[in-house]
Amino acid sequence: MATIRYKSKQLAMRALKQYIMPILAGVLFIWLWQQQIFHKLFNIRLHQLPLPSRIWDTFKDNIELLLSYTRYTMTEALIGMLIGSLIGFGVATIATAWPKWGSGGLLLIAALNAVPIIALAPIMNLWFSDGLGSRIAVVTVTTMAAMAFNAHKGLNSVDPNALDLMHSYGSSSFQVFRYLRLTNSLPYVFTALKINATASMIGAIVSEFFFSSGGLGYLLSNSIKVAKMSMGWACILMAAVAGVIFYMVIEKAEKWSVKWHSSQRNML
Amino acid sequence: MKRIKDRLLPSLAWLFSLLVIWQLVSWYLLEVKETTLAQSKVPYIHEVVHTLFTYGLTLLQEGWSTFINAGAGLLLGTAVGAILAILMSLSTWAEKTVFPYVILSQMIPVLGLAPIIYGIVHDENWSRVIIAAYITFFPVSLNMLKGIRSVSPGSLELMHSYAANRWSIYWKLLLPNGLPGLFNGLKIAAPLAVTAAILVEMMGARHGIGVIMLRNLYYGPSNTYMFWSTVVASALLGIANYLLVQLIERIVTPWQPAFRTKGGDN
Amino acid sequence: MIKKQRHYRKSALILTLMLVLTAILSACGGNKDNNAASPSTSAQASASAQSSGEAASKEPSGELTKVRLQLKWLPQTQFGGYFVALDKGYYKEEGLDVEILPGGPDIIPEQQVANGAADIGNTWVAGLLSHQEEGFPLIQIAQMSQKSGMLLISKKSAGINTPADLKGKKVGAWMGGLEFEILALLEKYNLDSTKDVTLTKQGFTMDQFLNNQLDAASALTHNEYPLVLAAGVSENDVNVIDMNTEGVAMLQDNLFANSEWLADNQETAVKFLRASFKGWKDAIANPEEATDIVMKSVDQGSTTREHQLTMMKAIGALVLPEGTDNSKIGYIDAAAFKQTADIALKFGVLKQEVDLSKAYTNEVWELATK
Repeated sequence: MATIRYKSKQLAMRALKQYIMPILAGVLFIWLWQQQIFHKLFNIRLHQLPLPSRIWDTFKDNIELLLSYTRYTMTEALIGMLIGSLIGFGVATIATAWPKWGSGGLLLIAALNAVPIIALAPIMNLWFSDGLGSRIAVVTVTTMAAMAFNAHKGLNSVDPNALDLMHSYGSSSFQVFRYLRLTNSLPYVFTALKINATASMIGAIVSEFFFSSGGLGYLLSNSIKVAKMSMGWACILMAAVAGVIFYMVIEKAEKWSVKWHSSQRNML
Repeated sequence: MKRIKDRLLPSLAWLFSLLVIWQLVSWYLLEVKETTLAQSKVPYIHEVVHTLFTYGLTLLQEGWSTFINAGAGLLLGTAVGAILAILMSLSTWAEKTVFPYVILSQMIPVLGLAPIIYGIVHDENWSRVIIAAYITFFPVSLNMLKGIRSVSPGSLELMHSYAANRWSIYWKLLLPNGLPGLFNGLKIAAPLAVTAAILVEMMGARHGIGVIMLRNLYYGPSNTYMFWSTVVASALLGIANYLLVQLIERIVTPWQPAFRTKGGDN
Repeated sequence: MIKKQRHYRKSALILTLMLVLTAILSACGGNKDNNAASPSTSAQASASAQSSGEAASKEPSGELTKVRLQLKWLPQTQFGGYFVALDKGYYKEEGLDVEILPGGPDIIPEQQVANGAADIGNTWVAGLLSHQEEGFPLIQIAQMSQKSGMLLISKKSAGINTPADLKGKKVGAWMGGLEFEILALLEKYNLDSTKDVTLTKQGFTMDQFLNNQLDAASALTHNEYPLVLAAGVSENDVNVIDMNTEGVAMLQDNLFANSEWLADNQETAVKFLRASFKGWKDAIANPEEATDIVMKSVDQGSTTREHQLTMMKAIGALVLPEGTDNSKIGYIDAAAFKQTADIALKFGVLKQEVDLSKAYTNEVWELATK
């Protein structure tokens, strides 16, 4: 009896931590915003940062357009991120298997990652025309780096003792890779995917600023330039919701697949 | 000496073969397929290099300005990211409450954010640094948190069994454990800081690679080599920043398995 | 007991960290004078130094009134008059220390001026109107280009000989407030912008047009059109639709001020306009000289003097159309302004009819030209 009560109390605590606190914080934040506390505190004018109620009205009035644009942007982000993460992981694998010849690939990725979207967008537009392809390409480039560096770290930070042990059993380097390195890299890979979840969304949005006739970024930049700030913020709201959902899906996948890893145990 | 040569040679070989392929594609598009805007799509390398040298001094000066901006943004971003990570590792309450909003914040593009930040700080230089930091802090924070969290339970139990207080657990175990994560985050953030600095320079700065990049892009195909030169310059800046982080990583965290010269695969 | 203590310590640590975080963030806000080392400040110094001589910029600016002008786009001869006025010291003669802030794709001059980042801005009229409707405290004080520079250009091969031929074509427009003349043109010929044509967002380069991704593209007489010609497209191979002759022209480059700032600084605004008009007259009369002056503010390698000269001549034709008296520079023409506002209202940039008396004032202009 006592244990059950203890358990349900624990569960309640977890729910409190997991959902109620963040929601409370959000509600408080929105309330402060609505009451213009931020506006007064930082001396922001209403036309610079519209109130949540007004953003919500715009959001409701344009929900269909916003949803269809979100789908458009999400498609770019998702496909780009998948390709980018695959390439990043591939480069990391090569750099691990043949460190001498492969580490140049990581450097190349660092170089690509420093080219800003404003330069990538026109290049990709020339290469892939102004359809979805060019934005997918931009997202691909912006998401490669996080995966490459993280996967490389994960594949290489294996316990030297375990490595010695496997060698002493006469394991082939493929076996070392499969059983030791790959499993060790999983948590790192998921961290990269989480970074990429947000990076791919923002990458898709920003690349839509330049050559696109659809998507949240297109609507956002057009709205802000003609002072429709509430529409702009409705786009940001939509992007934020999509981004957080994207992130949470990856987090769930992580929980499911790396249960054994210590970063998932509540030690602290 | 030999080690450096061994390391450098393969990278150089890569670079060389890549350039050859690029040059061939460029030649093919221009001379064989005769595509429109062939040189804007894949320009001849010798032309880009030529421009790179002709305007080398300008690019170097502007590049330096970008490098400084990127550095300032990266420093602030790292500080904020690391503190956030420690804060979230200290208390799951803080993590669960703050983290969804950290993700959310990443979804606000600079176009929407810039006027508000300026409205708050009323100084263009500081708003630029803050925006650069805002772009860079996320990977740092996430990776460092992961690093701290992945401390082996055994070590933690050991510390507890010695009745170590929280301070020394952090100082002796958790923070050193978070460092590789921090550096991993920094490696992602370092080239990103260059992107951020360039982005921010386009918002009305007078100097920096971003300013030249924008102008050459805008003035069209006749300036394509100069545009590509700025792309190369930004890529080189990214590499410089990355190597710098890697160097510091080796100095600060020499115990990481990948850096050991003995044991394991090596 | 120990546990409790630990808990306190933990809370204390969290609190400290939060304090440090806020300290860092507020340091960013508070440290406004601490940017002496930052590159862009030195850049400002050098910008004013090169234009008005070393000695002048070192002088304490005690008597000079600071005015910041926010351009809509990059420094180029499109804004030649201001650069000439700055270089020749016309602003200083009026007791002004003018700083010209460059624009860019992410810079919205209306925001900058409303924010106080600049005192006077340059933008297109439709953009200004939409910001005014949203409550931005802005008012127009001069109209620099009296005609629209907007063209819709197409390659002869696309077969667009009259605007009616646009049906079924892919048409490029700059969105974000710059597309309304194109929309008005389509409407004039009974073309539905969502069905009859594929309206596509045009980037700020002409790559899409040159690469044949667009059948017809927006182009300004003073910039994109000469760029297309410079890229090797012959003038004989291009069909041009001019918004002025089609009667769907909207006013473009203007000058506007923060109305709160203007209330206290009308004198300064008058001086600014007087010196600017003087600069523009010089620039139009002597485009070669104006181009040389502007080239000093353009970095090496990014544009050619030739292109800037073409631009200077083309913008001159908009600021002072043939047959106009040069004392009329900068005057806001009520009819043209109303046409702009009407088109903006029709295509949904504006929700309500504009109160023209609040949108612009010719008062400053009259004082400046007296």
